Amino acid sequence: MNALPRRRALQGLATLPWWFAALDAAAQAAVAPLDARVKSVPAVRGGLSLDIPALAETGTSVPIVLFVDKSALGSRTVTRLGVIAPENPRPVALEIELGPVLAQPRLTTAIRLAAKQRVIGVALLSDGTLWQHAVEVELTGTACFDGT
Amino acid sequence: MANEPTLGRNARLIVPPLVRAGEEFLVKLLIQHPMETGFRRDVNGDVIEANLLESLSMDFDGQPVFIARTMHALTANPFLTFVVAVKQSGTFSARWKDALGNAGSISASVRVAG
Repeated sequence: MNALPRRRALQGLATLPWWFAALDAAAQAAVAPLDARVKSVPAVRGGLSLDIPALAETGTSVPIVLFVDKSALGSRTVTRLGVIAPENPRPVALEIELGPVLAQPRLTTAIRLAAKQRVIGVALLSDGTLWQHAVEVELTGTACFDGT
Repeated sequence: MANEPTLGRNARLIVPPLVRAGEEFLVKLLIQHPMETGFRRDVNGDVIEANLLESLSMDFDGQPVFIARTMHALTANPFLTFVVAVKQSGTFSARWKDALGNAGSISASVRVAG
């Protein structure tokens, strides 16, 4: 009996949009989580590409390449590359600050995905511009939830 | 010897031994780490304690190559590859720390020809 009010409260929480934090994103753009920053601006792809398989064999390791076409940058540089996986338990999957030693704004790695979803690659430029490229990814297995 | 790990033998940092000045080359970093999410349970049904990397960065003679700000979704045994270019010989060094306080680092030297 005691558990019910708590469950209802939790269900209420769960219905909040995951980008709820975006509401005050403008006020704290510099420190806001990446997903909030992304939700606060219109989606522009710019020179960014997120290379990720359309069908991933397993969510435990999905290879990704995030890269920005340098010719689209002009005098700007890419300061951060990130990945948002909205269906993951922790939606801000990856955010990496790029240093001056890099010759290309490019990141190659592998990430975990919890479910079939629209994975969003994000590039933050030196003038504050956000570029994003969303890709639908189908999964045959999840990384985050097991059968127990 | 230059490419031997300095600390934590459970990692690899791979760079070419010899490059031309300004030439683009790959730096590959592999860390053996379970990256436990805290969502898994063991055979008794008990939650396996989360243990993700909390910080991870790499520099070249003090100049940053990258600094990971968030890395929740990196797979177990994270593997990252970057394209870099350097003007003079130097040492790449990566360091990381996980939620249980285990820290590691690794470095590798690259020599610029001429």
